[in-house]
Amino acid sequence: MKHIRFFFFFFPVLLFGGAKAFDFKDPKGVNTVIFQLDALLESINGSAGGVSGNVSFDPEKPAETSGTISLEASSLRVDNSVLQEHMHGEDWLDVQKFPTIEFSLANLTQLKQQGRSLHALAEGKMTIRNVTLKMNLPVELTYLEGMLEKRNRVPGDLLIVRSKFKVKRDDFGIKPGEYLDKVANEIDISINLAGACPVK
Amino acid sequence: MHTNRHTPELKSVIQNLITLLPFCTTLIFWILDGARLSFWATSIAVQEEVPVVEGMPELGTQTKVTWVDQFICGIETPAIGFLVTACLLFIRIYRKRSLKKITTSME
Repeated sequence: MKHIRFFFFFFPVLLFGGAKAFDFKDPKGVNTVIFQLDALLESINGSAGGVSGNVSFDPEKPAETSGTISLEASSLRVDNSVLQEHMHGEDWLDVQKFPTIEFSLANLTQLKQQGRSLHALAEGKMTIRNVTLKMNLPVELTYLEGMLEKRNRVPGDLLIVRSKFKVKRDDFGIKPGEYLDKVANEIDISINLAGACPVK
Repeated sequence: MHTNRHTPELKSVIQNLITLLPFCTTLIFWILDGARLSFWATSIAVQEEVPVVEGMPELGTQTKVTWVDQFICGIETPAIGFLVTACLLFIRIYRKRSLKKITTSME
């Protein structure tokens, strides 16, 4: 009986022991998503700071990396307050009804180690305005063991996730085919996030 | 005598300058603010590269974005200036013509 109890207690530890959970809610407030829309008549630049989510990463098995990165839609900011109101409004992102933009990471493929960083293709699903699409995003992961203490004064590890990719607003049903001269269809997104895994 | 002869011309030059003033001023403001082709901005994003780990930039950097409230002229500023100048010019021409009509009818 004791052996069975021991097995059930340690089975999850043995199974997921190597994987570490990294929290992407940055207490320093540096985690930012930068976006750009370059239309014929107008160029819109902005950023969003409401990043959160958890990613499970095992330095020994990086291909099995999985998790979710969420972004508060209301944290999207542009340089013109009127434009921002429109962007958050019902016709565009409708942040009241759809408060989060989410990328659900299933696994990593095409892994290539380059120095300290790991380049890969993140396979997952992107959800914007309740529309979920399969997407493969190029990512660069940097695992910094024991470096959390130097960043947040808490012992633990850091995982840096960098990516540059494009999203088409047409695909997510955001005013498809409309106002293309002022609001570009292709949105250039750049992310540079630090996730923390404190030692428990 | 000399000043009397030139006064109407000088007056006309001053009036022309006043007419052009809105467009010129707004154009200068627009150029000084960076000649943005898009509309006005109420804030600017200040981007700063900060090391992921303080004092160790070799481990990589992150872009920290800070928004600062500041008004920046957009393309609408010189456009408004142009419209005001056009209106003033229209009023001047209209007044000149009506004055001419009065003088000819008086003669």
